[in-house]
Amino acid sequence: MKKLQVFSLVVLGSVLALSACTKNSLLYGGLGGAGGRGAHLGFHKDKFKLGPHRGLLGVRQYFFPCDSIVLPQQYQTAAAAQAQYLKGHSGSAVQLQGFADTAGSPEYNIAIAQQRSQSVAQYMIQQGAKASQINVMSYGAETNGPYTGSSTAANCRVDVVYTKD
Amino acid sequence: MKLKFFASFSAVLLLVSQPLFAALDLELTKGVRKPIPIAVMPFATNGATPSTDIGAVIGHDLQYSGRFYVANNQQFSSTPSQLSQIDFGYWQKYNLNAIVIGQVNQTGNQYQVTFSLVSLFNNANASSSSNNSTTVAATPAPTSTAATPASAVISPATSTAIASPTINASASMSSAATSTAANNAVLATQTFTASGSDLRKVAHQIANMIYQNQLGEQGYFTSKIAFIAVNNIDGSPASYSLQTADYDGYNIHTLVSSTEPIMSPSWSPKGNRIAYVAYSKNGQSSVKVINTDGGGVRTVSNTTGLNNAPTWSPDGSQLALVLSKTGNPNIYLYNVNGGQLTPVTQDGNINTEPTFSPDGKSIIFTSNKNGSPQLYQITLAGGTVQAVSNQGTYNTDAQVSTDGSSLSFLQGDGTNFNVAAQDMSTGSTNTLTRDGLVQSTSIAPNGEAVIYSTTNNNHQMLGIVTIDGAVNYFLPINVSADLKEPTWGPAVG
Repeated sequence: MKKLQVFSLVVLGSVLALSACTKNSLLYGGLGGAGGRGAHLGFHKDKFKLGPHRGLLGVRQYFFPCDSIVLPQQYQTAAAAQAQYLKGHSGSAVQLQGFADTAGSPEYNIAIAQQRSQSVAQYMIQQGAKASQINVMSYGAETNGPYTGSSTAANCRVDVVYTKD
Repeated sequence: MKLKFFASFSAVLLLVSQPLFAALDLELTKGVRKPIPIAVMPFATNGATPSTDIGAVIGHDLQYSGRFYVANNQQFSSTPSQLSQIDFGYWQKYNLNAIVIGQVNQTGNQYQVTFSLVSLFNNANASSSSNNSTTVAATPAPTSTAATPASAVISPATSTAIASPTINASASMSSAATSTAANNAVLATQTFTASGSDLRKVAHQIANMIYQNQLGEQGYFTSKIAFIAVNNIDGSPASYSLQTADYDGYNIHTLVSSTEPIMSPSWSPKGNRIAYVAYSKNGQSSVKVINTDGGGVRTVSNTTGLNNAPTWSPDGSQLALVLSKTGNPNIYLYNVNGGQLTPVTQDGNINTEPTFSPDGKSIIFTSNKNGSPQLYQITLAGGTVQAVSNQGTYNTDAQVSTDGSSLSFLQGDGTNFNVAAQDMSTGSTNTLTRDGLVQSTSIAPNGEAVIYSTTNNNHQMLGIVTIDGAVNYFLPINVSADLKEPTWGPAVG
């Protein structure tokens, strides 16, 4: 099978993830588990390029149930792995980008998404990362398409983006 | 005499492809206040060539406000443009409160627009046989919609049930007394001088004068709106723009454009500045202020974390905004001149979407402190908090009208999100839309209508609904961009 580069896998989304080798499919973490459909990755499509990608470190999207702002248990090991990496690389830094489903008002969704990334930050700090290595921010629903009447599970997530390798 | 009314509203939901003011819903019997029947004549152009049909703009403003029924001119065999041309005997056969007449003259590239609002009550020119309360068999009106917006078909039969005062006709008068009586019937008249590109503004000013005269309230027809336009390429947002327009969707101007998100526009109380949120490429959100002419951009707040949801105090001296300095979203006051920050909320919950009460002494905001997002009011001196929303599981995005009469907000049930309004004096709440896909709401300065963003055919559009829910239409902005977060500017001249 042709080996695909990491960032282009990100751009091509879930269709490729489903057909990718097992090793590469870890990049998408729970894409299959979170309703199957790939997260909206056209916006800033090269953002996962920086940083480590081996094993759990390649799991960069943590999907939440859309009614929750607490880091789901299934992503705790991935978050712990990132925290360990940050602990061991004091020059590295991440930005935790919170996202929310489009339903409801835009600023309330900014706040929900911020609580999600804050929840991941708190867990990583507990696991050994320094607060100064983590930037918590929120895009809310601002990079989604219009609300069409039902939730899109893939919108409810936090993306782990390295700002310094 | 049976009247045919102007704008056609259908009970059937209409598609966005309708070019002009596609009406979504009209329930003629809804609401306690009966629309005022009025006729708006085409303005005589006397050789001038204005590119704006002033009478049509006035008619649209009045009809779509929900407070007037504007008669369909096709049924009339007379089109007066001067007071002396009004045959009161003819006009008083119809159930009309008043008639609007006007003229446009042109000198070079300047136009003079004159209008008169003329009462059709109490006019001594009425012939002895006419009486406003008589029902005269209508001359069959042509059933065409050529002159009306492509959108709508009104059913005239139901609309004749409008009470009109009984006028006892007097005997016809001498011609001298006649013109005096005619002059006495003039309720408002004015001449405007304007360039061709300002003729819509003149029409809106005239509509405001008519609205004020007939209802005793300030109209919103010269007000502006601001909103965000998002252009997508292959489903991904490619550019975000902060735009302004006339309240009816005309005269769109772009103030800011970016490849990163722009959101949360908020008008200053005098309408000369807009606060908004802009993201930089590295994900930092900032609250910024821009002049409505597009100049003078300055950054108000760009602390680490959230800098969101700016809103102006009624006296323009402060912005309330949302920061996450404490780790969670909390509301702060920012002094526009000195830059001082004062906390308003200080708990560990989500606190966002602040909006000032018209007296500036309290802020209404959204909090999830009781589990679900609800509206609360906090007094700035003392911090007393009380609940504002009183039903349902999701109430956000509140705004109080400048006159303090009504509060608009977004009302959800988990799946469906609609425009709702609360009467500030009684606390009673009404749901104003039914499509369930509404995202964002903002109330008109006089509390009589709400502008909102909703999804139609997988595309976000702006709509306006009147406060009694009776009139509901999309703005005729037919672009491929998704239009969101509309905010209604102050009532201006």
